[in-house]
Order: sequence, then C-alpha cells, then structure tokens
Amino acid sequence: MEHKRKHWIGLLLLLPLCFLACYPVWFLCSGSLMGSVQLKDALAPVLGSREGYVSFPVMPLYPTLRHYVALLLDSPEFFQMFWNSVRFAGGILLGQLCVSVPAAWGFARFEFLGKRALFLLYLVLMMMPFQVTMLSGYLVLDTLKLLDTRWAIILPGVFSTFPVFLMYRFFEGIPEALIESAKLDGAGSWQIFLRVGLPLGSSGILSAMVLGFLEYWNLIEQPLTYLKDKTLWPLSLYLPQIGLEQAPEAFVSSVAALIPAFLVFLAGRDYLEQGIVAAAIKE
Amino acid sequence: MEKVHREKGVVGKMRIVLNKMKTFFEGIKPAAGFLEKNHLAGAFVLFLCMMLGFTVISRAAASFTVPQVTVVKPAAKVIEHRVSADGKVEQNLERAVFTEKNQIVEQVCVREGQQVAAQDVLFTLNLDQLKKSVEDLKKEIEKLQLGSQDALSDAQVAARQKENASARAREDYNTAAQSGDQAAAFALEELNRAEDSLNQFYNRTASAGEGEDALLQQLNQECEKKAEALSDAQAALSQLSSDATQEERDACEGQVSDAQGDLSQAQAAREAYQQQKDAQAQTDMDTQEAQLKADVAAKKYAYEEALRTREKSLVAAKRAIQDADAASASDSTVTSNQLDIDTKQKALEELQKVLDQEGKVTAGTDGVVTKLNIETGGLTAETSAVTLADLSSGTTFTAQITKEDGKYVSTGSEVTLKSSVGGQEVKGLQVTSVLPDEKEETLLDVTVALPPGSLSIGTTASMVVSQKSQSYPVCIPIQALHQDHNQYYVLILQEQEGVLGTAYISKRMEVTVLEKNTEYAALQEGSITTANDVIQSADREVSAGGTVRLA
Repeated sequence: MEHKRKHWIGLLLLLPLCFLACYPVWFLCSGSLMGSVQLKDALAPVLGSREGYVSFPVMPLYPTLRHYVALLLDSPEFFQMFWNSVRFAGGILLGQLCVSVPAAWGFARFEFLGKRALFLLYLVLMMMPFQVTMLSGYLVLDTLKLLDTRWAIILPGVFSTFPVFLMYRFFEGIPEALIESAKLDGAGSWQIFLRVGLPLGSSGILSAMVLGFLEYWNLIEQPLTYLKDKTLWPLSLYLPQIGLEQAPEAFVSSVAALIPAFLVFLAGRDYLEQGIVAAAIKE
Repeated sequence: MEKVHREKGVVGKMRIVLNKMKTFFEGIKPAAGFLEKNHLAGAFVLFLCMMLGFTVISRAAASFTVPQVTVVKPAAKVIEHRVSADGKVEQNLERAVFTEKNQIVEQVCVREGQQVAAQDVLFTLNLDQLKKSVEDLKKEIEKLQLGSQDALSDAQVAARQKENASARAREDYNTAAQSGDQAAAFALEELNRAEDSLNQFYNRTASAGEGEDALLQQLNQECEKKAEALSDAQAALSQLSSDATQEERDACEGQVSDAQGDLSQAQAAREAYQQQKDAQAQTDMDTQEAQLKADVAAKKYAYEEALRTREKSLVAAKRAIQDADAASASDSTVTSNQLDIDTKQKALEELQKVLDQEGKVTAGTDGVVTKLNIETGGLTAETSAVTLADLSSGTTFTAQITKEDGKYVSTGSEVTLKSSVGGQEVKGLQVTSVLPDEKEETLLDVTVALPPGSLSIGTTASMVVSQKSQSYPVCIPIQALHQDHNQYYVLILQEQEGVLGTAYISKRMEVTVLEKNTEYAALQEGSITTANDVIQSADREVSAGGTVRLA
C-alpha cells in the first residue's frame, strides 16, 4: 500500500511537469490543423500589431488539412530543404560511423604518446559552443575552398568530438578479459574491433547516433554562416522570417520537421537511456 | 527490443506492410532482420518514402501551376504600316436616261450590269398610254387657251367701267365746288351787312351823346330859374334891415325856404329825369347792341358753316375721284396660262417624239447599265429610268478605312490593288483622295484613279498601302506588349536565386511606345534594352512578380 500511495503521489507530482513539457507539442499539432484566420487571430499579439497576450485555443474551431496539402503538395522548396537536412544528418552520421567509432575505440583500448593531452583537447573542444569556433572554422573552410558547399557542414560534423567521448565510455566498459580471450583465439586488432568491439559497444554507437541525429537535424548556425547558396539550406532555415502571413506554413513545416526526430528518438530510446547511464557510471 | 504490448492502429498496419517487405527482402538478411526488429525504424523509412513521394508530387504540381513562357530579345526593326481594305471599282461618270413620267413600261430590254451601245433600246413604253397622254395634253392646252380669252374680255369690260366712274366723279367734284363757293359768298355778304349795322350803331351812339333832349333843357332852365329865385330871396333876406319886421323876416325866410324847396324839387326832378333818361338810354343801347352783336355772330357762324360744308363736299368729291382712279388689281391669268400652255406644248412635243419612235427609248451613249429604276408593267417616274455608267470617263476604285488607319494613308501614297476575281494585280497606282465618309463619322473614303482598261466596273478588289517608318532600335512583337489603364508595360525575365536554384520571375517594366503596327511595337530605349528577355507568350496567365519557367 505504501508503495502504491507513493507511486500515486509521485505520479501526481510528475504529471503536471510532464504536461508542461508536452504542451508545446500539442500546441504545435493543433496549430497546424487550424485555419489561417483563427491562427492569425490567435497569434496577432505576438506577430501582428495587436496588444495583449496570446490566447491559444486548445482545439481548433474548424480543423483543416489545407495547410498540409499546401505544404506537402505545392511547395517544392520545402522538400528541397528537407532532403538537404536528410543529407546533412545522414552524411554526418555516416562519417561519424567511419571516423568517430575507430577514434573512440582507439582512445578506449590503446595507449599512445600524447593520448591524455589529446583526450583533454577533445574534452575542451566538446565544451566550446559553436560561436567560439565559428570564425576559425570559417577561415579554415575558406582556405580549403569548401565554403558554400555541403562539405562545409558535413566535414566539421563528422569530426565532431562529442560522439567520440560518448562511444569511448562504452568501449571502455568492455571487459578486458573478452579482448584477451579474443587475442588468444588469434584475432588481430581489426578483427577484435569489428567482431568484439562493435557488437558489444553497439548500444553506445547507436546512442551516439541518436543524439547526433537529434543535433544535426536541427542545425541552424552552421548553415547560416557557411552556406550562401540557398539550394543547400536545410529545413531549419525554411522560414527565415516568420510573419503573420506564414504562420500556418511555419506550424506545418515544424510538424514535418518534428516527425523524423520523433521517430528516431522512439527507435533509439533504449539506446539513449543506456548512453545516459553509461555516461554516468564509471567503471 | 520486445513487443511488450499489442500495437494498434497505424503501427499494426505497418507491421503487416513490414511483413510483406520481409518476405520480399528475404535475400538481404541484415536489412530484413533490422526491419523486423525495429518497426519504428521501418516507420522512419516509410516516412522518408512518403516524403520522397510528396517531393515528386509537389514538383509535378509546380510544373502545372508555374507558367511556361517563351521569351524574345528586342531587336531593331522598321515598323511598316500596311493598311488594307476591300473596295469596289466604280465608274467616274454616270448618265441618267429620263423618260416621260406616268407612262406604263411595256418591256425592259436590258439587265443591270449589261453593256449597251448608244443605239440599243433600253425599254419600250405602252403606246396606248402614250396616245392617251397626248390627247389629254391637247385638251388641257385648249382649256387654257379658252381661259385666256375669257380673261382678256373681262379685262376690257372692267377698263371701260372704270373710265365712266372716273368721269362722273370729276363732275361731282366740280359741282360740289361751285355750290360750295356760292353758299360761302352768300354767307359772307350777310356777315358784312350785319357788321355794317353794328358799326353804324356804334357811330350813332357816339354822336348822339351830344344831342340834348328838350326836356332835359327845360328842366335845366327850371333849375336855373329856381336857383335865381333862391338867390333873390336870399338877397332880399339879407337886404332886410334890422328894422324890418318879424313879419317881413318871416315872409322873406318863407320865400327863401320856398325858393330852396323849389330849387331842390327842380333839381330832384332834373336828377330823376336824368337818371331815368340815362337808364333808359342805356338799356336801349344795350339791347340794341346786343341784338346787333348777336346778329353778327350768327352771320359769322353761318359763313363759317358754309365754308366747312364746302370743304367737306370737296373732300368727299376728291375721294370719290381717287377711288375712281384707283389702280385695279393685276390679273396675270393670261400670262400664266400662256406659260402653262408653253410647258404643255413642249411636253406634248416630247410625247409626240416618243410616239413617233413607237415608244422605244434608247441609251444615247455607250455604257454599262448600273441601275434600273423601272420594271415591266410599272409606271415611270420623274426620276431617271435607267442609270448608265459612262465607260469613256474612266474608272475609280473606292474603299473605306478607319480613321486610325487613315494616319498612314494620304493623297499620293503608293497603293497596290488586287482583284478578288482572278487575282489580277495592278501596281504603281497612287491614292487620289482621302476624305471623311458622309454617313459614317469613323470611316474615311479612299479613292484611287485607275487607268482605263485595268479593271472593269463592278469588280471587287483589295488595296494595300504600305508605309515604312524609320528603323527603331528596340522593337518587340506585339504579343509581348500589354496595357493596363493607358499604361503600356512588358514583362521581362529576371533571374533569382532561390532554394530550388536559379528561378525565373517575371518583372513588370513600364514602357513608352513610339510606334506600333499589328506585328511589332517600337519602344523607347531606357527601361528596356536589347539585352532584356521579354516574355512574349505564356501557356497561362503570368502575373508580374510570379515565377515562370522557360518553355
């Protein structure tokens, strides 16, 4: 009984907080189904000229799929940007698979000169926000003649430090005994990596992927800084200036941008939990 | 991951789809395994496929809504104005053939459009009707002549009557004058007599004033005597001395007083008589004077009356003379009758001529029958019976053009005619005149003189006048020019960098048109140059600022 009561008390405390966290999503979805007149009326204090605060209705009065149709069937620009986002995210993740995973394995299992210093550097770089490295990054990309191309986004992402750190944690958790036994069976480093490291650290890899996807799907600053050609812009830059006239479009495109992230999150939820746990526990 | 609870709805359906996909991808184990394990990942893939589908659909939809346009660069051209119009060849001169009116047409021998010679018979008139008309005319002439005669005799009689009246009036006048004079003279005599009497009376009265009346003299003597007596008595009284006695004084005083009394009596008598005499004389004179004056007045009045009467009768007589002499109204019956007779005589001659020709009417000149105003069995009218086109005078081509086209056609412009029948072309002609049409205000009549023998009368032909302007550097086809509330504009292509790459948008540029014809428009340089791409045509309506794509 006690347990159950505590359970219920805990639930009562958590539910409102949960509601506060979920409300924006509901707000977004109902707004995307709202007619433009009602939407404009609701958002007028924010985006228009009216005074006061926004009062947003919970349910749309006359729900309509018109904006979905308008966006999905009549806006080729949206899709161009969508696929750009997919390319960036996919490209970066693929690159990270190729680059960060071996790097993490290297950090976890090997000892070499300057490893500590390098690791420290990685840590420091991981903490720095984009704005700090933006200018130097711009100069480097300009020297490499990569500005205004897709590689300006993908390459810095591929060589990002955070997934290395995350995966390193997982790889570190693999018992040495397994590696030893593999060595005894005559496996080389490559084979140990592929046969032992990857499967055992897969949860870490996947959690890094999931987190990475969530990050790179919503890139704004890099494309804004490094890309001038509008054909390369990702979805996050679809509505550079949201006015009252584009409010319905904004809502629907936000929902459309939400779905992949949502799906990826759902798919990799378990791995995410594992990743967070792994980051917390030191073995 | 294990399926711990039953999925429902969409997810359940997806499972079914995924199972199907699993059997399809049997060969690719890892993929199949992955898909089976991770239905959410499958959902993700499905989502991506859906987005791919939508991408294609949205691009297809855009291809329907975005207009396809053809563009053209402005070039240097010469604007040629060609005015073409259809018209007809007509004759320059026409002749009308007249005939007697109200005759019956027996037979019409020609058709409209038929060429005739001078001797050809055009139509024949009914002979009986002609003869009847002749007879009628003769009778009318006779009537008129008789009428003239009557008019003449009437005139003569009237003249004579007038003479008589005039003479009589003059006689009356003279008589009136004579009698009037006599009466006046008589009255004047009477007047003079009366005036003489009056004058005599006045003269008598003036002299009779001195002639004394005897009685009056006597009375005067008496008065004197009495006066003497009085003075004697008074003297006697005074002479009396103081010693006189009272009786003597009383007797003297008594004598004095008697004498005074007698004197006063005599004076009174004299006064009375004088007064009486004066009064009577006065009244007698007054009455007489009055009578004489009245007489004079009456006679004067009678004289004046006589004069007046005389005047009146003279005036009356004079008026009578004037009346008698008054001119009588003019009567030109004879002259007008004569004129009618002449006219009818001429008509008679004409009818007689036609009758002599057996009712046949010939053309008189060579020509082409353009209009027949008569029909077999109908009545002829006063207007022309047949209209002929005179071939010898030449032919003209006429056409009508609108006033706007009239800007490019003027007298002397070179024109080419092309006959609609046979396609015969006549070049090197010049416009003879360009005049406003009488009936339609918006049209102009263009005439071109044709050399003889080129095109026959009645042929329809089309004319073409072409006028070339100077060479303009910026010319666009006319389809590329648009108009909006009296402002011309064109749509030019502009490149714009967008999300989908280089896109074209249409931009509206307002232009000034220097000159245009039905094919090209010459624009003023400035806003438009030969480097711009001008949108010439589109498969749907293009709005300024909208996206377009090249066809």
